[in-house]
Amino acid sequence: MAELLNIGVSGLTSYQRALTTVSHNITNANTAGYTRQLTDLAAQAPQFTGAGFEGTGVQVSAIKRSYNNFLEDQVTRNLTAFKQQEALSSLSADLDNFLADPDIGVAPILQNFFTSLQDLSTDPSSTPTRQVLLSDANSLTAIFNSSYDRLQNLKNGVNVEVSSSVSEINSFSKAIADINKDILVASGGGRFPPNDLLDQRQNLLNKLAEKISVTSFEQDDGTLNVFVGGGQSLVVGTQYQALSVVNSEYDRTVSNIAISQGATNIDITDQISGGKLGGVINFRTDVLNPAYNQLGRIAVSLSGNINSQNQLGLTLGNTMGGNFFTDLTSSTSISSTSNATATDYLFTSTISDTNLLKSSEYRLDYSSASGGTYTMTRLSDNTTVGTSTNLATLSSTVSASEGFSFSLTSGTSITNGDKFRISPVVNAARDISVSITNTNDIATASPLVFSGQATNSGDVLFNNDGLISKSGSTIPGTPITFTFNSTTNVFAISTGGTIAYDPATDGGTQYQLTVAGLGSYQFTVSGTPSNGDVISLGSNAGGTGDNRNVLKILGTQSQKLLGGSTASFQEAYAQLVADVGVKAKRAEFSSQANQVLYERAVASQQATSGVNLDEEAADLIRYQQAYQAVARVISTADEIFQVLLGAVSR
Amino acid sequence: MRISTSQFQNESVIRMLEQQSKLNEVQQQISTGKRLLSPSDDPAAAARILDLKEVISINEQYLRNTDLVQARLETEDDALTSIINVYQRIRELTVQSLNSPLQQVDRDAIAVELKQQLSELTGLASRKDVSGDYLFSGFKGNTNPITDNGSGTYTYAGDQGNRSIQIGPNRTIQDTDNGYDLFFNVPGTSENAFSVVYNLITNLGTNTQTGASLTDMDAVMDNVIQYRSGTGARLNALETQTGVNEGLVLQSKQLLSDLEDLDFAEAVTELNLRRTGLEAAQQAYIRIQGLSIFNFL
Repeated sequence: MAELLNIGVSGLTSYQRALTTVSHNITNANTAGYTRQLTDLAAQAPQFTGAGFEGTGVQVSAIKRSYNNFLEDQVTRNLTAFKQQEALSSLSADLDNFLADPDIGVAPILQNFFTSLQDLSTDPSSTPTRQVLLSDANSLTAIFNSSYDRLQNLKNGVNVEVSSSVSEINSFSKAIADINKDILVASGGGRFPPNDLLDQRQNLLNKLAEKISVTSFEQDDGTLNVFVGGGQSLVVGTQYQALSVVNSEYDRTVSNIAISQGATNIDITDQISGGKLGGVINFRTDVLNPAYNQLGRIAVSLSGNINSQNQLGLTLGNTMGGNFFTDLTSSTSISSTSNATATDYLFTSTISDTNLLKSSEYRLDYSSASGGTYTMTRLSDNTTVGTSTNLATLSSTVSASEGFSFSLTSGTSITNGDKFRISPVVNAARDISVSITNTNDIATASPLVFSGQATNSGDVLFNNDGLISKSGSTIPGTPITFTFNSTTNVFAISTGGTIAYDPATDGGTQYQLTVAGLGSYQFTVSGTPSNGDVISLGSNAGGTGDNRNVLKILGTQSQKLLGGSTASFQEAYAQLVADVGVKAKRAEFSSQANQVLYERAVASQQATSGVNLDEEAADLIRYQQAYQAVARVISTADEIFQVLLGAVSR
Repeated sequence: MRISTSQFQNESVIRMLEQQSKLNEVQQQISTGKRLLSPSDDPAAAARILDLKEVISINEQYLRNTDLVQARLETEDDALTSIINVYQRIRELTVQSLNSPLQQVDRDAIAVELKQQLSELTGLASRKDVSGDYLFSGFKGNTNPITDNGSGTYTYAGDQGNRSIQIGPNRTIQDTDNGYDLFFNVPGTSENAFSVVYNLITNLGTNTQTGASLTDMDAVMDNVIQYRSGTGARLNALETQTGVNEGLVLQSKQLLSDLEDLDFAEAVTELNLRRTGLEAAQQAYIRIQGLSIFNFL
């Protein structure tokens, strides 16, 4: 009888528990990270009687999670990849959209500038046309400046994201360490798993994975260890290690991520992957930094080429032209903050050939080997461009392939392992501006002009190709004359020397003449001179209608002046847009693919661990019926007892 | 496969959002008329579009230059025609002064008309273009090319430069001729055009006119006629180049349109498809949401 009651009670408590679990599942059907719980029922240990073993009822052996470690891991892994590509894709698309904007991008404004130059070439003396050109030049530099600002904004955005991610990561790490502590206490002997705490921890781990790629291992005592990057531990048992935000060794305006190891803070930015943080770091390294250099290289090439051509021409004020844009040829190195002593060491880089320039920054390493060896590394593809114990030798090696030379400007001591960042073009888009303020200073004319003497009886033509290099700014006061001798077929030059010209074979030949104090002048001779014919080459002062030099400035639009004569300004810009576009597109595809993988992983995980309300409803009915049945056991026991009592009392 | 209730919900919502975003994309394409909403939709096409826009802009500029050169050449042609007419009249007067037995009165009358023609000639040689620059002074657009030093000496104050304007990628065209070549450097005579006429006037006063004046006059006139035919040839070349440039602009615009413009028929079909998709997803969601055993408990 007592057994009957005991069995009934065991059933009642067990089914109550089962019903509690079902209710718990139902109420948590929409809780993020909740894993469906199951009540494991088991028969209680039997009791030995003379008739053999007799059952003693039911008991709850465990309340377990419907959980699959592999599936959970898949979710975490795919989530971190998805979040990384999502961040990379959205930032890259943002950059690409403004670079290729038909109204505010560099391309249309660059076209306006050249259109104004064309207008000026048709009417070089017109002040309003000159004014329009200057104002278009100012718009052009302004668009370079504002594009640079947009890059800066994106860079600052990355910094903000880095610091907010780091603080979120730290709070998640702390929470995981705290839960580890609770789990350690709650699981005691480890017999009964603290289900809801485990769910919470898994949930936190996924939140962490949204920010950064992590690996985790569960220990025997139930705690979870979490690692980031190249194996640096974030959570070990009940302790966590905070990440911190540090400045990049070369740039205070770049936020990096560090973790403290013992007494030192180690920069682990390069080792970070995955999650939103991995995505923004990826964007900064692979998309944003190259864009700075590509844009800067166009600015340097544009200003360099137009400046040198403007310097070869004559202004309306009858003097040799100067810089059209600001001179962007030199920049100063930055010493790594990790350098031992050489923070005062400064190198100046000077652009020697804009056509050879690469869209890259460089690192100069010093090693004390062989009495002091310098190595220059191109950072865009991590290629060593030269190594030497002699700075001047290294500089000329670098200049021959990379288009810039460099020299030491200051510094006293240098130590093995010191590093310097050399950036010939990175800030050029910020620094470019228009130098000319007076419209007269646009050098539209060529400095010299040919004229034939009235007494000439032959038919010869000297055609001006212009000054091709400059040694000074002195325009000769007395014209230089070329007098023809038809016997020897030679022009005698008044400043000394001769040029051989056979009218029968040499028509259309190009000659170069060194004009003292001015430079090398190029011209073409054609036609048939008579003996004694004199052609003179003199100052073009007052030649307001001359457009020969502006035509040459204009020529820079269609020439391939960048990347080893592979691209024009416009093409280099289109390349930048296409580069960023391709990266944005790739990230978008990747993000979509990873999203699908993530969704599939979630579906598989949910198939095991999610709550299905219909299923819970069925369980509810099942356990309710069992409870009702067990209640009948107790009432039956009562009835039997009453029957017995009735029999005895009679 | 077993499915969790919240996953079931999420799944439907995600599919609806997906359909919505695709619908939105097509709707944006239709409202902007552009196939590419952002350059990353088709990076290669985006770069090509930038290049094509440059080609169009450059060639449209060449067309503007062509118009300008044409205006200047027409001005020059006009001036040279007038000059030839003046020369013609001077030549007639020269012939008249040589052929007929003339009284001093008649010679004076001829001289008076010659003086008028000479001043018209210097006026034409000092003509300015639409921007106010002297047409025949070479590069020195602000300098009057003809200086009259008195007593029949005229000097050229301009220079021997000839300006060329770009009208095609590798094609420039000379927009005027300088006064030195037109009036001062005349093959067949050592005199310049003005002094030839001046001398004639002087000779008429002293009745010492000779046949040499006529030879000089012919040389002067032939020279200008030759330059005028050059002007005509350049005007023809301009027309050819305009055709080439216009063709290129048209072709590039066609290419540009192929790259960036939307095929509306295709887009509208796509829009209908997406709309149907979204409606279906929404209806499916509503139908399914009512299903739960709890409704029957």
